[in-house]
Amino acid sequence: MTLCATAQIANLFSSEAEVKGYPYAVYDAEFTPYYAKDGVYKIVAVVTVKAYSKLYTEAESLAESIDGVIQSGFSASPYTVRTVSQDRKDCLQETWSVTYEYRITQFRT
Amino acid sequence: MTAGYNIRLKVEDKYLIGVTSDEVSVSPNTKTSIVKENQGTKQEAITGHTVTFSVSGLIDNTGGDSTMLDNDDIIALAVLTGDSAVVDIDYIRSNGDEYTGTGVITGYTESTPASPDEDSTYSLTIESNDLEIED
Repeated sequence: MTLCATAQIANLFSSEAEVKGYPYAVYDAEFTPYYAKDGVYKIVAVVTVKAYSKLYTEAESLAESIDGVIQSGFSASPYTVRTVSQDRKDCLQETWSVTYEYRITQFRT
Repeated sequence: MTAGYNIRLKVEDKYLIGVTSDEVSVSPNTKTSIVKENQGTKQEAITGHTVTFSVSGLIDNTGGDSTMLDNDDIIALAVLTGDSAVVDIDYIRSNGDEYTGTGVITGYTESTPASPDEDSTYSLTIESNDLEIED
């Protein structure tokens, strides 16, 4: 995500990690446009961000950093951001993951 | 591409803001008569049509531009009385055909939910008895 790159969170990737080591985060986004007769009036993106690490605190810290950038980056018009779920933890084969899910709406200006 | 996105209603020569759907219903006005030559059979003649437009749209706080009626304009028209309540309407088909006439706003509703995920919407109904295709 451009916002996260700007904020120098470099270890965030779309769908698949492009690094071998931990920590890293991946995101998936689904965009749905909504139409009025005079064009698209809003686009809703459902975005899932998942941070991974061997240490829980590291995964949580990375997820929180990304969350901070998303919340501040989409807090003003024409965007609204709503956190659907936050801090969903999981541990699989000694790798922790923390998942945040957002619904980001961009309105026509 | 499906037809319909470019079928538009104009009120007072302006498009309505944020329209998501237009519906049109045409009903004939008939007059029943019986005269002695009809030998007891009633005759029905179409004397005109009532055309009802139902428009659904979004409450748009951008206000659109000068070619559009925004939600404040629409509600202001909806509460007019007497001769002022008669509005000019144009119904433009996708092939460019245009039906024009006058009408009266017979209903206006707004729905403004609290949830940021839901849209604030309006609906408007206009009834016309004199719509004609423009040459």
